[in-house]
Amino acid sequence: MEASYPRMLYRGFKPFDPLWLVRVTEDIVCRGDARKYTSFYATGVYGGIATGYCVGCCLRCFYCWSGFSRDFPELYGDYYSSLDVYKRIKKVMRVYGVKRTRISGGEPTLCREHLLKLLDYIERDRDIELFILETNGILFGYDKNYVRELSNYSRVHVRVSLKAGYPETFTARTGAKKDAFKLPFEAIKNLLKYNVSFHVAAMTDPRLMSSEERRELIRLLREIDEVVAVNLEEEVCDPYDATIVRMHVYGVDPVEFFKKELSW
Amino acid sequence: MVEFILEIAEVEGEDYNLVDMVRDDSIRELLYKHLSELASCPPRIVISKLYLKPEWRNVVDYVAHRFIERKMSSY
Repeated sequence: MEASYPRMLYRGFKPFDPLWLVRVTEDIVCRGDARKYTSFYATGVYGGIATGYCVGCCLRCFYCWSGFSRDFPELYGDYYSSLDVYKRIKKVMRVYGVKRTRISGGEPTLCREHLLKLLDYIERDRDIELFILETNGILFGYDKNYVRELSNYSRVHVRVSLKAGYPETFTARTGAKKDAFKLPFEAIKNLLKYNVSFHVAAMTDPRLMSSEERRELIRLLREIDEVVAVNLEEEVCDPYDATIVRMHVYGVDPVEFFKKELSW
Repeated sequence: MVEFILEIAEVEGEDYNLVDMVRDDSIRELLYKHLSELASCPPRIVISKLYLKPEWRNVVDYVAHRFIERKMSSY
């Protein structure tokens, strides 16, 4: 390891290369075809969806809602093969009567072999109507072949989550080096190129992002494709337990933050 | 219809299915007639998938161009 493993962001942190963090996190959470997960459940979003909660991410957003497994992947979860995950998901789908599924909690594009094998099982199952792949776009921006492989799966819909409209604020929110700012935008270009169904989400919460930055983010999207820009899902930050702790550690008072009015 | 879907997506784009957000029975019927396999998806997913269909692509593009101007002017 060339540096200590980044956990939560703190004031004065040293920005990291997210592609390096992919590798060191994969060393922890991937084991051949298996990946660490903490739970399998169903939730009401996307009209009802079975969810596998995976461990490990390559960004360190200080407002992130996901559990502490993001920061301490060594301490959380058990390894599940792609077949184990498929079976667990199917069981949740049966119990809750839902036909959609997703991997959430961490970055699902880590452990590529695991993800693609899981998608093979899902593709063969005609009872599953949709697989939502929620990603930060780092790996899909870095490797267009990964996106090309994804285009083989007919029921995948990708949700790319953008963090910022400027390289500087990207680093301040995620901990990743400024150079990586462009990667999620490259991911969008790759998804368009390979005709993968996707939409873009962005954390444009006005308590985190100025209206100028929000406009710049939409301008960048519009430069790529107007339909992608118009279909943008805008997110706001909620006071989940892990979010509150991460904000506190970063030096942002969560009480003051969540008291602020939500208006652009 | 594409504009209508985009307007619904502005209200709630991901958590509810498109048809569940339509009160008017005649519009719901219309959605099922023209978008049978997509009507039960959330609105943003419907837009994404329509954009991939050659027969819908130009319409989605045209409406998006008009819609984005309105969206930008609200910021």
